[in-house]
Amino acid sequence: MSEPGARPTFAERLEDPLSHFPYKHDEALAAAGSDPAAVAEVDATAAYVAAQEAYLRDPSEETRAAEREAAQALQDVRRERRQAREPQAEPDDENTEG
Amino acid sequence: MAVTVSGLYVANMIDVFDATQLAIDLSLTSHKIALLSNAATPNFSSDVTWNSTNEVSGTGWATGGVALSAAAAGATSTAPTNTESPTGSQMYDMGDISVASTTLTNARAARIYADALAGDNLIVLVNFAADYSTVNGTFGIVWASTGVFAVDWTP
Repeated sequence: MSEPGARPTFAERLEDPLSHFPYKHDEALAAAGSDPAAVAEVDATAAYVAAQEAYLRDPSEETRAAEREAAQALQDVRRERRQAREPQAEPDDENTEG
Repeated sequence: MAVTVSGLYVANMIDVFDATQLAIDLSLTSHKIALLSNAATPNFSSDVTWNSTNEVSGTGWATGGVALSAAAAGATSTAPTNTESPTGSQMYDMGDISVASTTLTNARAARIYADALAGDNLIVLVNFAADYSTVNGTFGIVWASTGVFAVDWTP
């Protein structure tokens, strides 16, 4: 094991009971229900966790790039979902001509 | 005595980047999210370590908080991400918090801290700006589209 306070090794991360490997895809889908945006986020999360696990098991430029790509894809899905439910800003009258 | 703003814990952020090399890994799911009442007065310059003073806990939400690996709907992972978003900025984000069957009183803020580190080092506090309670219900946090926090490295 790592020293207390030290960064865990990749192997330790994979075995840590507080890690998210393997991702509970079925449970997450059940919680998402029929909301397409929520399902899309669950699927993107599963892809990200799988890519992260692949990198931790076999660290390489390729697996690292795949993990970053999956993280960015997940981030994009989250942002789109949140922007859709956030109230849109009112037009700024001070900056409106006429 | 009140929570007035959200923020990152500056002393720990400095230690991440200096010779201390504090090992805060934002991709870990062993970090915990703990709740705080408005009786607290956070000091982002001097607060370093999580402790239970003024913590809000109860049924379904233990003292010390909930691990990020089980804090999303269905007790699944919030899957924290650490990405560049938008260009030039670093964003720390995760799935929304949704913990079922909780009974909690007057949660005003959430703190995320590195439970796996010996120092239980604090990372970020998010101010709800109001008190929230549950009675055998789901405690949820819906993050903004800008994530839990973002740092503009290219201002």
